[in-house]
Amino acid sequence: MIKLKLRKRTREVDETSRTNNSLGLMFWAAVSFLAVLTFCAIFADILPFKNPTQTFKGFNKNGPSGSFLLGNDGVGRDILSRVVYGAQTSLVIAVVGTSIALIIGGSIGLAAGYYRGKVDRLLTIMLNTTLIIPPLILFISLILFLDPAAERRMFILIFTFALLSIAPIGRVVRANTMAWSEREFVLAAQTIGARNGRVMFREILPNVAPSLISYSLIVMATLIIVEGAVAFLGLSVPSPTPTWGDMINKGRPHLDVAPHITLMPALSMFLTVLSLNFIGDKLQEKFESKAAIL
Amino acid sequence: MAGSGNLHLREQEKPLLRVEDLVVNFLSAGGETVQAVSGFSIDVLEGETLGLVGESGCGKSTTARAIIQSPKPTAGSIQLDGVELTELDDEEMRRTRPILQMIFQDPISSLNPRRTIRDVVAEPLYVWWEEETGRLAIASWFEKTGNLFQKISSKFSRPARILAPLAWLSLIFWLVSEASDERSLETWLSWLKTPAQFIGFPVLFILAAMAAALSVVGAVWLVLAVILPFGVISGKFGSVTNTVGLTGLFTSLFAVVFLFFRTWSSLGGVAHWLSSGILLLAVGFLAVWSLLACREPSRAGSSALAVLVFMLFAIQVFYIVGLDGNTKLAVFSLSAAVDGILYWLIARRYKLARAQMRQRAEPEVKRVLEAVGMEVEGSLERKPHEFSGGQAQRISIARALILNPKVVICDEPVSALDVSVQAQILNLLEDMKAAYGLTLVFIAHDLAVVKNISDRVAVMYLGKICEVGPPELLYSAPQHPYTRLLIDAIPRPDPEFDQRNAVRIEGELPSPLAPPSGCRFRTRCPNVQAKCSTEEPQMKEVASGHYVACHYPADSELNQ
Amino acid sequence: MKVAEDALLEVDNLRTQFDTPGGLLTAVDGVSFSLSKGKSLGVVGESGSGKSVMSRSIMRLLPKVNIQTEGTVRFKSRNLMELAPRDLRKLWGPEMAMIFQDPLGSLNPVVKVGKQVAEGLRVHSGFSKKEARSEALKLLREVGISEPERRLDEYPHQFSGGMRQRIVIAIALACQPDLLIADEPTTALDVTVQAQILDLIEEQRNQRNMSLILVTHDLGVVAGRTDEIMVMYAGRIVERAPTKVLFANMKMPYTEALLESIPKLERPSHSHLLSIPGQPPNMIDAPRGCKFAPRCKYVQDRCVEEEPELISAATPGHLYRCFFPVGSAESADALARNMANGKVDESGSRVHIRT
Ligand SMILES: Nc1ncnc2c1ncn2[C@@H]1O[C@H](COP(=O)(O)OP(=O)(O)OP(=O)(O)O)[C@@H](O)[C@H]1O
Ligand code: SF4
Ligand code: SF4
Ligand SMILES: [Mg+2]
Repeated sequence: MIKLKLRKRTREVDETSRTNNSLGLMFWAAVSFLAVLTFCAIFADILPFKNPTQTFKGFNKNGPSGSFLLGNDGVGRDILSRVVYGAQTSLVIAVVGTSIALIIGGSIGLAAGYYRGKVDRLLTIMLNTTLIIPPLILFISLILFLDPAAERRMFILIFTFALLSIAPIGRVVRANTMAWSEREFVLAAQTIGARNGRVMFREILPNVAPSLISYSLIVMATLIIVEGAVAFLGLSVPSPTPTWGDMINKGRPHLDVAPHITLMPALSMFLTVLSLNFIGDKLQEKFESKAAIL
Repeated sequence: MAGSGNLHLREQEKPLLRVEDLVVNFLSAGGETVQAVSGFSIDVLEGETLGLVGESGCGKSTTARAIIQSPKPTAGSIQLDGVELTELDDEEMRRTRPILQMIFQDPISSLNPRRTIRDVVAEPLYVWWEEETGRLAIASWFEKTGNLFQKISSKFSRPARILAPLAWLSLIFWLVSEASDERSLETWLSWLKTPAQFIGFPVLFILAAMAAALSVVGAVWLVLAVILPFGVISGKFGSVTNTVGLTGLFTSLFAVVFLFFRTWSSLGGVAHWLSSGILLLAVGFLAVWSLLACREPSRAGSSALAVLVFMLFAIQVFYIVGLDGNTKLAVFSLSAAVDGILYWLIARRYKLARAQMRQRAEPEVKRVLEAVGMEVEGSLERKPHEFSGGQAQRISIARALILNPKVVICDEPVSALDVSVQAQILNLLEDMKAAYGLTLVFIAHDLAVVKNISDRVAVMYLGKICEVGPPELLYSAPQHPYTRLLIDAIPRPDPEFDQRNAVRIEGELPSPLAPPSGCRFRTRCPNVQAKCSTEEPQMKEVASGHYVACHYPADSELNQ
Repeated sequence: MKVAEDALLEVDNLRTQFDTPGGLLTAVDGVSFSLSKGKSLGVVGESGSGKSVMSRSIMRLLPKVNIQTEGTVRFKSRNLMELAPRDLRKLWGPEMAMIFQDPLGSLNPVVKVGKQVAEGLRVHSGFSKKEARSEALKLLREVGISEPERRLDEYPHQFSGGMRQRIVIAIALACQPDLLIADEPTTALDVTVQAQILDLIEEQRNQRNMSLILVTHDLGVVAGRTDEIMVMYAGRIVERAPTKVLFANMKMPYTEALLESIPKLERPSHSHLLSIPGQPPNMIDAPRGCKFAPRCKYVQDRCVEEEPELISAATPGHLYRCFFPVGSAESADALARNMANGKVDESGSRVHIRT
């Protein structure tokens, strides 16, 4: 009996250590990077960063130095603090945009996959209509009609991005929900008298959630890139608010003499997107291998 | 077969389950009609075990699912204890479900992989308990905070009626003032920001978060004051519930109009329009829930918290979006903290209720798990995939038993199991039947298995019944050619039995899209005659209690 | 073990172990047997008794990671354990083939069945596309698929479970193997289709003079069909005998228990089945003595202390692994003692002792 217990204990230890190992060092590196970035972005005001809009005379296009860790940009502003403040913009847009899409798209997908039939057809049409609008045209016309003075640009960005992410997320959830609804435990839950809402949220959602989480991370990464592209067109949050895309754009003319002006924000964007994708992929892999034993 | 007629229904007795002329059609992907079950009738007396045998695809599972009304059958009548199930609406059916349970073929797939065994088995109890007491979560919270629950539930039905609109009003005013008075928030924030640079942000941050949390808790209290009566009176759908629900509805409608005019007159700009839109939505949401509450108390109870959180979220989004660069982040982090605290509070309360329910359910869970022969110690916290097929099937049986059902439908419960485990489960079902006084419908494709457990066996082919009778007669004197073939197909653990001489059924089941005319079995029947393709055989009695639907049953002279 | 002269397959002391987080799991433990050309062997045991791992070990079809295999598998005098993967691949198909339990899982869902049947022919026999197709047509007809011309161009999901298994059989038979290993080929099917498929395998085996290993958990499936039966428990052979001998003179309590747990048509309904209580042992560190001891109704102290060897019975070719073989005076004695001390109840079932 005692021996049996011991064996069980060691087994548990083994399993936990294995799960950690299976995620790998890179995974944790990516998580730490994002954690540091998010922390800096949220507490940028209290942390000892320089004012991102202040120009330091005589430091124009300076490379990294002791007081300006990542160097200065074309007009002498501190790139490090601009990267950190730029992260605010990127992260807020990505996180809020994805969350809204997650809530709306997730509910639509769940309902469509669970109820099927007419509900499904209706909701799928709804999802598809969001896809037939050309994104750039939608975005530009929203700006033209609602925000010509660029006062509420952040809102428009989030709104557009959320709208565009609803359909992909909705589809993923719908497909997953359909697959899980086939399982007999769903019918079993119905036979014990559980309501549909309970079946959806308590039985199906926990099973759909893992793949949904990893997918949302990838959506988030995509949104960051798209924000960069929009900034490149000069349509993102206006100056002097720093955004990565805008910084890359502004650094372009100095590419030959001071490549770091472009490189630093580009690198942060690259690392962020890479980390998000990597974490998403790893989680997906892990959940899949777990689902295989289930 | 393909037999029609209801001669085999025992009219003189009062069956517990009576299925008459059951028809289930599906629409195939191509838009054609799949005739899965076509005129199936059977009755099961209390305490009896009905065995249902047939090939894969003959409609056994479809019949089982039609009996439990998911999906509802295309036509026919299903009476459980005299109640016509096909005429019940969804809610009535849901309330009938506990006495009509089902066990499935794939033991692993019928248990949610993310639940522990404790929760899997107790889930039926949770479902009905939560319903019984409104939201146990809220109940326990009130119990803790001075037993308000008790007090209000016992006599304060009238105050509740007054309290409800008041609560709604204050909530809405709170929302409206918060939402529209942007300047006051900004002052507040600037106050927050300037000293932050001197005294240290964290201290203030926590203070501010606490203040916000307090106002939130206040709001939760108010909302709960509304929910409370619903939860309390949920047992009896009394007039109080309706009153409260309706007042809630009207107040919120009023609030919507109020908010609309206020927004329209005093605010401009797109963001404000949109934010008002969100608020309108939120309030509208509340209104809908109030309406639902009139019908279904506990639903409002469980959802009100979610609605509240949703509204807070909407307000936050509105602020964050509407503010300028730097304040934005401060507000964002602040509201994140507030949300965090709020969610934590809710989660704690929720967890508490879960823990309480777990505790309350534990003796029951142990009782059924022990009854089905599971080791309780050490298995409660494990997940389904850690069990073997046989054990998982025991767990399924335990789950079906915990609600004390009258009828249990077993859809091939042993087909996915090894013979040794199959024997364990068959014995277990017999024991459970005796111990709990169950009536069973047992489905399988192996006649030997069915014979072992049943009091009466029905053989099914392509959506119809071929032969019904006591298992002994069916085996010793099978009348229908199909029954004969089914018997020959059973693998015999006897080397002297020459499998090679056994008569085999040829080919495959015909497509239920276009079943054969006349007798549905005629395409594979060794005795087929001309009459079989034109005329559908009717049920006739060949011996006492033994019925067959065939023009040329084994004992008839014509067949000789 | 004595090796028959005309042995097609000789397995000697085969041991397969998996490296799991919980420790070394011994799935197959010292299995030795031989199979002559044209003969059939039924392998019977509960799930988890190592049947599938054994058949895959013989085929060398196990994944590469965390696995240790010992012993020799001689097929036509070649040791498969020493063959390079390339040479093995040449063997699979023309020499030995395997069918699995789940027919849908072993077919490629996006390739037409005709192509899947023809593929082996093209790779191994160097058939042209046209020849392979006409051969595939012939094969499909042989395995009892009606209208093969039309069905050749259909996809696996358009077939029923039984038909899919027929296709899998056609694929396995395409290159005329000398040995067919069927791992629970009918477990996922209903009895009527099971009977059809077993008949089909039997008929093809006779026609082609092929050797067959038929793996199943149901003694009824192999009873009238295979020449010999081998019963496995906890990765070991616990009894082996020519089919008729086995049924006439069963020695191993486990075999007896397996037989008794099958519901028999001849018995009246509601007759109590003598099931085997509990589950097969944990193979990571199995109990010391006889592996069946915790579930055996004849168990005595000796069984728990030491493990019985595989010994020969009076009839030639009959091996078993038990101290108190069924039908002997010792076993009757043992049973009586167990009934007296409450290990066995009145109905003759071992009482399950919860640990
Ligand atoms: N949702 C559905 N849509 C279309 N056809 C269906 C649906 N469900 C079942 N069918 C068809 O109805 C017929 C009866 O199926 P059913 O599952 O009841 O058979 P069964 O006797 O339970 O078979 P098995 O032994 O394989 O479980 C089959 O032809 C099946 O393909
Ligand atoms: S004899 Fe005729 S009626 Fe009877 S089963 Fe055969 S085809 Fe049907
Ligand atoms: S050795 Fe003992 S325990 Fe093992 S099978 Fe024989 S009697 Fe049973
Ligand atoms: Mg079925």
